[in-house]
Amino acid sequence: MTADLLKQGITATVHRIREGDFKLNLLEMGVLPGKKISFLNRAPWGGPIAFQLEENVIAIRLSEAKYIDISLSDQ
Amino acid sequence: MQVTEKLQSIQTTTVAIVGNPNVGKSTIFNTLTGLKQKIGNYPGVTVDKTLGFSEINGKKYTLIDLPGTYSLYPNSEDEVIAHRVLSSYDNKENPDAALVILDACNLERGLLLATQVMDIGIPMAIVINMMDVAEKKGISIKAHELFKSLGVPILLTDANSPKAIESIKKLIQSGNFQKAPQFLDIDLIFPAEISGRIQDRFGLHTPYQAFQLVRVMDSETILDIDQKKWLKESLASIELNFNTAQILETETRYKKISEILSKTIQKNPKGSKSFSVGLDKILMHKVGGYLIFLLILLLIFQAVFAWATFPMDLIDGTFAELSSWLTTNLPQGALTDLLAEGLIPGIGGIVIFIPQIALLFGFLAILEDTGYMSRVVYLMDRLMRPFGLHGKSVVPLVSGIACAIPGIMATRNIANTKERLITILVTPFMSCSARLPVYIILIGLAVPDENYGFFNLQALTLLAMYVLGILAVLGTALLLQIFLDIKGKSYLIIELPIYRIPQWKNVLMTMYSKSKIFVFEAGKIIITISIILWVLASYGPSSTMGEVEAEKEVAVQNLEGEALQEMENFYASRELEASYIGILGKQIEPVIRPLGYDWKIGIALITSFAAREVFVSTIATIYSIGGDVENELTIREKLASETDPVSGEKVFNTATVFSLMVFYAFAMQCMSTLAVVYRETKSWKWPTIQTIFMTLLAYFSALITYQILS
Repeated sequence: MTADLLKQGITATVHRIREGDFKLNLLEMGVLPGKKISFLNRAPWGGPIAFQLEENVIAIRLSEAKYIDISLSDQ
Repeated sequence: MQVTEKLQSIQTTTVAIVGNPNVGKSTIFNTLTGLKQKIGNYPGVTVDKTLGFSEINGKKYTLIDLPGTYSLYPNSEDEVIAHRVLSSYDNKENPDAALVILDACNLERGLLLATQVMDIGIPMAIVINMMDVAEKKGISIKAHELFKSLGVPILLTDANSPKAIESIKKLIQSGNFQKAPQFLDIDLIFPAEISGRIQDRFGLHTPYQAFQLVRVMDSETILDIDQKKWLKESLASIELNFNTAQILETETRYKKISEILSKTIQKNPKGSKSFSVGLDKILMHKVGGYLIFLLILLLIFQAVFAWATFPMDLIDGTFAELSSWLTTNLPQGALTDLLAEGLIPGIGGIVIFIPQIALLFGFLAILEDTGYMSRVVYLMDRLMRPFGLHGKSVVPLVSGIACAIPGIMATRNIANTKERLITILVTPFMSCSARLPVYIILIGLAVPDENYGFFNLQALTLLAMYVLGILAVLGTALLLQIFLDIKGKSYLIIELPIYRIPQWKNVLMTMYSKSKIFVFEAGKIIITISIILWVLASYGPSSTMGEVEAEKEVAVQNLEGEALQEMENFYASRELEASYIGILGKQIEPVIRPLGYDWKIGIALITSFAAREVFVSTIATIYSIGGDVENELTIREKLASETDPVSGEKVFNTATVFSLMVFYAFAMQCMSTLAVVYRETKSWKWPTIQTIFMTLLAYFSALITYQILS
């Protein structure tokens, strides 16, 4: 599953970043495999999504969130 | 020349301040240097770097404030600066040392950049900032262990406390910057044999520098064609996909960094929901978030227009007095006239906008400092995208309410070339403060000062002009989005930093530096143009001009007091008519007649080509109002009573006034903006296209307005 499908209140782990245009930008921003990620907010009309990424909050577009593979933690 | 340069470099040590965005870099820079800052040009490119000067215990330091960046590979114009300063290949501009600022809560990401700086081979030290926040989050750092793993000096601080600055000063003064051991084994990515040859040829210190040079060679302006060809030939023997190589580099770095951090960092999450996340529920809300942003915009709007009035009037009065004082106290002659009628009003015309610009940028600095601006980018991105704009375009556009110049300069952090270009091209449509005096005079002429229900009609009209500007922004952006064929990936990956109380000193410093940029950028052009215009308006072909002057001699001979004043005003207008600019005005009359303008308005159109606000003073002179130009009521009364000598109709009728307002809303009447667009796009192509488009749009919109209303 990818990060754009993440629902409120669920914490997942970044599994990997898919190859593509945004991989480097996401890596530079600290979106790294193994990091805990959870959903915070979503801008209307398919706008950017805000995620809690460990201690930080980042916002990325829907199209970029599709590049982040996540795995749900069992809790 | 070379001796002095050498001397200077011995006397001052240059330290570049590097770091991710939102790590408190600017606070550190501003506290260290205070107001001793200047914008320096980097040779060969059009981007600037901010320099600051600091004296610590009698020793002089030059500090370079580099824009925040996540890596040394530039994604946006802004980040190009960081890249260039640190890895400058001509070796003359190299800073002596780098001070890398890291956010204690974000060490992993910060170290990605820090280790790149290490591999460049520049002496450096690391400042880990925001320890206070980290402690609250339960993060503790073993500084000594970290120092041992990295091999460069490390300082833990919280830059908002006064003690921190002292310790940073001590660090700089001690000169305790160290060349780090190579962090990454770049040979794995880039063959040592090739990097060695490149190092030799370009005099580079480390293989990583060689790799970087190769990575950016296509956009590197310092390289000449031969050098580029040589580089390409050297690379011919290997398969090198830059993107893959760079991803590999990044991943390898992170792996090593996380090994180090696992030994040097301890996290005991305190689990409490942070204040920031709670606030975001409101400020980033689907509906509430937008309403709050709108309210903030209205507040800024109110401040820029209401609060700035008092200082603006003060500046206005001072310059008017200075002009008349010069006229009475200096010997009569062309030089005095040039000073009193050309130069001083020219400078006054720039200075008068400082209060509005300072206020606007004060507000923007507060929004930036608190961390709110990133939320605006988040909120607006989806709304801007259909128009080919980016969430980050909001800042330039809002700046445009005061002045397009700093707005256009604020586009540098937009990474996508097309989005940045569109933002640059449409920002001048925002109703800047130079249009305001024009609108106010014109609205006073055509719209009654009456209330329509709750609203004042004049205020509504003014609001409509601002809306018109925004519509032009969106419409033009949409057109450009369709017709501009520029490729490049567009992305939005931003950090939403935790909310903080703004650093007031920082806010004041931003207000100061933005005003300074405006004064210099706009200043040099407006002054030049105002001198040229003064010459064109004061001189004419000797036959006609001489005639008018001779006539005036006779007419004013026996007059005194008010009668003399009136006669002089009358002849000032006659002289303007006979001047070169008057002749020009008459020549363009056939073109502007369909818009409802006579040749006198034509003169104002020409003079205000350099800067819109000049319209008011020109109109004042040409309709021989004379004396106190700034007395709006006098101008208004005079203009309202002006009739066409042929038809006997009012010159400033409703149709003409609205046509003029529409013209000023759309026309590119600002030389300074053109110059800045040239600088930022590095060619005359875009400013030329922009001027032609805006002028045509202004002309035809004004034409339609006039034809409908008359």
